Amino acid sequence: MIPIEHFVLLSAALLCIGLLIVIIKKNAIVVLMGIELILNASNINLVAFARYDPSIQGQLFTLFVIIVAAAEAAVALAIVVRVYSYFKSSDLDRIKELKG
Amino acid sequence: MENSMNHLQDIPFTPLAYMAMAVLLLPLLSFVVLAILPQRWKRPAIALGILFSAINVLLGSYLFSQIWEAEAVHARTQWFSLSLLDKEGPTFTAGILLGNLSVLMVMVVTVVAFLVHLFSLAYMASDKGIKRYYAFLGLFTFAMLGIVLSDNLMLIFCFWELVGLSSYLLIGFWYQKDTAVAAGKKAFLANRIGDLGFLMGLMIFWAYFGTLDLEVLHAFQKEGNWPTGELWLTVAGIGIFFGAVGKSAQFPLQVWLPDAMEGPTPVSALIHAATMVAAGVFLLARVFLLLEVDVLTFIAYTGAITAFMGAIAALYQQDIKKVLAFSTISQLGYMVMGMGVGAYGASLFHLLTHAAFKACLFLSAGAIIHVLHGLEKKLGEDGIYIDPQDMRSMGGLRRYLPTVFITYILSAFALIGLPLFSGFLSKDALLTGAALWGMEQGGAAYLVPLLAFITVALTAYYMGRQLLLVFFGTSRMAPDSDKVAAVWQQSQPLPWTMKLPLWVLALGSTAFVFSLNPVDATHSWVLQGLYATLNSANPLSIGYKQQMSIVAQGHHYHTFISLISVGLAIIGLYLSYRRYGAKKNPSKGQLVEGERAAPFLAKLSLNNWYLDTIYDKVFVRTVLFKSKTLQNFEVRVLDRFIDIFAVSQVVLAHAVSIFDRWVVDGGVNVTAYAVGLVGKWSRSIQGGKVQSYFLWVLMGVVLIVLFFLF
Amino acid sequence: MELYLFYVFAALALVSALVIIFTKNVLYAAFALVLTLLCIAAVYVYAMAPFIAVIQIIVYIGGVLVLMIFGMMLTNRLSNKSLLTEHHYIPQGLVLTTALFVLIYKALSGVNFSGLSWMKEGFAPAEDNIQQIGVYLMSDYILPFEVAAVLLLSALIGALVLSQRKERYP
Repeated sequence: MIPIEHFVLLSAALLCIGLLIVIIKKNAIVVLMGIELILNASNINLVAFARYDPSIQGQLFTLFVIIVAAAEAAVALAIVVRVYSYFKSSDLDRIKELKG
Repeated sequence: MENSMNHLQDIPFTPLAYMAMAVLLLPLLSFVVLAILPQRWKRPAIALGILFSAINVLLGSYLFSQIWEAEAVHARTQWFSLSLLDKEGPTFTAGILLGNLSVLMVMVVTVVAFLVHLFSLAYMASDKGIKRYYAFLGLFTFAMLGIVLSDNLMLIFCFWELVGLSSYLLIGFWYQKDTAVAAGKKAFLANRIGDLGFLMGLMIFWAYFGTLDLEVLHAFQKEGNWPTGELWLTVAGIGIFFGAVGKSAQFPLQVWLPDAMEGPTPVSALIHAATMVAAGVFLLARVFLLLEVDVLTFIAYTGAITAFMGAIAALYQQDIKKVLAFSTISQLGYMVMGMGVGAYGASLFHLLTHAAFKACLFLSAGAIIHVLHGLEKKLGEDGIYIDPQDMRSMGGLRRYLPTVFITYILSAFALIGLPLFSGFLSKDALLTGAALWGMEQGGAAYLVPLLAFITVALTAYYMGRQLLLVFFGTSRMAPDSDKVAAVWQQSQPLPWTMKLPLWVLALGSTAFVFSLNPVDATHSWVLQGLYATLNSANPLSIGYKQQMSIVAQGHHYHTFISLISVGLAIIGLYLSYRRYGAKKNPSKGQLVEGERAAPFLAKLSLNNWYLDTIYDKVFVRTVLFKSKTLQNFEVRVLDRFIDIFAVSQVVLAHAVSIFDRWVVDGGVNVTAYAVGLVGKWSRSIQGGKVQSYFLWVLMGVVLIVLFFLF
Repeated sequence: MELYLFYVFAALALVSALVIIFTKNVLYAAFALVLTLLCIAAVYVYAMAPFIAVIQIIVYIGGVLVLMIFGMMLTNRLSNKSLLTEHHYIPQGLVLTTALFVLIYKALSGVNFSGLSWMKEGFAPAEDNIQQIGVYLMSDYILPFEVAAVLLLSALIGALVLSQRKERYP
């Protein structure tokens, strides 16, 4: 059995890397990749702790997370394509209609 | 005084008393109506005023017929009472006293007032303020009747002041003229000086007797409660006499009357000949029995001096009205002198005759001025300028104004005191009284009859001069006589409203109206009626004693005295004829020239004994000097202090403003700028960039985790 | 042996995740993500969830990443140049993420997992629990399962509507 701390540390590292990607990348698609990484980091935690649960709820929850992530990715990419056709750019810092 | 209370009981009003109230209040009603009615109704308003005045004459005549030589009527009611703490305080009463004296004065006032009302209709026709004029006439008549009818000195004083006010209003009627305003002011001030004395006299009487009711005062005297010989009573008498000095234009306060001629001429006839100036004499008659011997002596001297001074001042006047004004002063001096020597009846008789003939003279002069004023404009078109009041530009008017000539000459003869005219009777009686008094007192007292007799000659001289200058000779209006005739062709004839008063008053200047015997007044109905008012007096009263001695001894000297006075009058007339008579007939140029090279007497006369100059130097200059000193103090000290204070305030204000601008405003600006910076910075957070929001959220998460960990 | 293989995969996942950060080329990033997700699938296997690992490979690598690469192509101007991306907020992001990682590490180091009671009593799941998952999905989790189906359908329709070229909604 691989100790639980390793999974948790890996998930923490991936979470921080995902966050960093989300913050520093200008391209919307890469930002979406960062979000996927964050979701995967949480999935690792869920799956790892499901080992100690007879009803394996963690695994089932991970399943739903993956489903939602897929739906999210589809819709988000559609939005990105739509935004691109409107602004002629997929750089997030060019899209600032909400500027105060 | 213990018995004063029962003296002050209310006396019910009888129908006659009510009628007297009506006579009193009708002119007030006239005043109110004229004051209220709008300007565009001025014609009916004036007609109403004249109507009221006519009704007043009728009522006055009825009163006269009921009261004269009949029982006197006295009605009285409580006016107001002063309560001192819980004790009943002094009570003031008001009432009407109708006796021979009152109704005679009522007749004088109402008749002259009515005639003046009538005369003014034409005289003031072209004046814009005619409605105001008639209103003031009503007010004046009311005040004058108030003096005449009141039964106590307090009320008399109130009406006295009202007379002063309405006189002021009428003298200054043409308020656009500075001289008229100044004359009104002068009259008012001179009267106030006299009124101060009057008020003092009233206070002393009040302090002694606790009442000012004339009947009660007379009753005190009769009961022997009168502290004769007290110094304070002498002072009170002189004080009240000072009131008369102011109103009746006696020396030294006579300076206001010549200036008062600035008012409309009918007003001069009413106020400054017949009524207001006579009020002083009337007041003396009211208190005659209460006066001390020293007071009477003082009055006699003052009157004689005034008569003489007035006559001298009238000698060389050029203004037709000024001559009459000084003549009035002189005649009033006679009346006052008469009161002083105890010739009570003669004095009031002279008041009556003087009211008639002097009013006639003034109205005649008014008619002349009215006509000449009309001509002045026509002559002015041809480049000839005349003063319608200057006798030097008159002459020969008997041909052009025959009516005025006749009335003028009748009333002038009355004034001079020629036999068959009213003035002769009254002046004769006065001179007799003066002569008897002089003989009785002896020594310096002879000065009084001496001055009185000299004044007779002077009066004849100045009136003769006036008649000659105005009516005789040829006209001096324009250089060539054709021109004068042409101008007179255009003049308007006198309206009947002017002629009627002249004729009525001229008739009143004849002796027959007053006495059946035209050369002896001893038995005239007027004198008899006036003596009757003294019948109820205390026989110990000094005035009464003197009057009785005159009555008793007068007829011994009467013929002698009347011969002297007529002789003096003829001498005066002759002298004036020699100087201004038909043969000499001086031209205007000669008159002006003669004035320049005038002897000392003429200068004295023209300047009214330099009284105005002396008063100006002594009183006015002093006051001005004081005010100048005060002004200097004000400017140099007070104003400078205030200036310094103000400058320091301004400096302080500047300092405060700098502090405000740099410190307070700076603080505010820095705060605002800092807030602006914070605002700019915080706005930059809302950059519309998703990732920057995310950064902030992440930072919040880190901080929360930190918080939970440690 | 098992532990070392786990380390290899974990390290590979982290390295390829870091590649996503460092590269500017979006396509490289996508391929690095493929590697990361594959490694994570392997990690699932070591966490005794083979079904999840398979689903991970099918859904992510077969679906999501293909979608992403299509998105890249649709948002490119079809030139010879490759699609590049810029970086920004690097210092802030680095500081914050490092701080978060340090904090999580500190928090984890303070926890004694083996001392927890539910961990001691923890069961060893079967190597093959696919049947168990199927039973659960069809029984206890039938409602979330159906809702997930509807969600996927609506996401499909939504994506279609959104990516239409025609300007239906101005």
